[in-house]
Amino acid sequence: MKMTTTRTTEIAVAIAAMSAAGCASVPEKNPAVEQARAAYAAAASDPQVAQNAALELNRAERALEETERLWKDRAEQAQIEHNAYLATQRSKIARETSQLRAAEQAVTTTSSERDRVLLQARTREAEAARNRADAKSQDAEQSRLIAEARAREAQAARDQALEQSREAQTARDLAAAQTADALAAKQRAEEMQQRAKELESQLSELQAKQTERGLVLTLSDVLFDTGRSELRPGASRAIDQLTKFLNEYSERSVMVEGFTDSVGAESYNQGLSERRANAVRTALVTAGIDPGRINVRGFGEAFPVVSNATPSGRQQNRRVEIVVSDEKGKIPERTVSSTPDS
Amino acid sequence: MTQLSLSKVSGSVAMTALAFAAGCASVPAPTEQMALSRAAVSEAQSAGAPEFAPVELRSAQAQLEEARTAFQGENYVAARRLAERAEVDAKLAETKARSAKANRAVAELRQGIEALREEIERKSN
Repeated sequence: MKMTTTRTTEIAVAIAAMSAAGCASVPEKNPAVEQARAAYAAAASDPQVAQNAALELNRAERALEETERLWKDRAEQAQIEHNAYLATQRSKIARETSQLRAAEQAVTTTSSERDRVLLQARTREAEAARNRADAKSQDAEQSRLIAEARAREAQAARDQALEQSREAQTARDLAAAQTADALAAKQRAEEMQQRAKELESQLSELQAKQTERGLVLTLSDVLFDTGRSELRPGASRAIDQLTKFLNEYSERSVMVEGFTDSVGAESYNQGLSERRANAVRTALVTAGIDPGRINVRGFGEAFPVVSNATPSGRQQNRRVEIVVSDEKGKIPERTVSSTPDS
Repeated sequence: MTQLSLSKVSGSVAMTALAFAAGCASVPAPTEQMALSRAAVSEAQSAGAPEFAPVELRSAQAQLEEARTAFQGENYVAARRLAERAEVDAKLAETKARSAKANRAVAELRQGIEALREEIERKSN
């Protein structure tokens, strides 16, 4: 009984003591409190946390202080553990907040860094664009110079082509001229040949004979009436031919020689032969031949071509001979052997 | 009698102990703390905690849920403690998420800068 009472008292005292201990300092190991202290120590030892998360660190500190107080006051275990947990989390929040602030600062720093790099990029881009523009401008200048050079070359080529064209034209003209010359020469040659032929035919019409004195043309007495010195109309054709001949061969001169037959007085025949030769000369001068180119001789009865014994012979001896000079206008005189009879 | 007296003493001691366990005070409904904790969890969620701090966020959510149950059961002491735990867990989750996002932003910015620098190098060469 006594013992029971004693025990009961003891228990009551113990309970009372426990209750008193709730507000008294009695240290006792507690893992949750240890953990809260460690968490706070980790946060507080980081100067970054003090700097970046002062408010959060302060809350953690107060939470730890409350835990310490509860622990020293020997508060209910659950209460101590609860507050220790809160203190631990507050310390973690402080550290995490410090990291957040650092990250936010890094964002700011990096953003300005990016802006700086962007600005640099834009500056360089602008510079590059300027350089490109410069290069393009230089290219354009170069192109312009090249174009000008090409234009000059083209102009030179055109000039050259034109020059060559002119030379070709000149050559063609020359060739044409030469051809024309050749043609003209050929034509002249042909003309001369033609004239030679004509001369020949004319002379043959005039019954020209090649003698040692040159060409000799004989106008027969049919051109004159007997005893007269006027040319009959039939002689005009012969005079025309002779005129044409002398006009064409202006370098040549003629000697007109008159002859008679042996009928009649010799002096009369001499005069008649001279008058007949003069009649031919007059006709030629009238036709436009220079008188200086015409010499006249009368030989009378001398130099008969055939015998005067027959009428046809006498007719052949009544004549006018025209001796054509050489190209130098010279006519050899009749030789002594052919000296007419007086 | 002794038994009775003992039980009387024991009864009074037990009552005293209970009073101490309740925190040396009367226990009001932790209405404000519940609101603070709910806000903290919501804040953590919108800060990206589901991605960057899922463990802390789940802890906060679970304790907030238990706090509600306790609150509804009028177990206010437990409700307050659970809500307080939910709040600090949510705060930690939010801070972790924000920190992780900021760090990721820094990494992306640095990557961008590096790319820009490479581009500048390429263009200037």
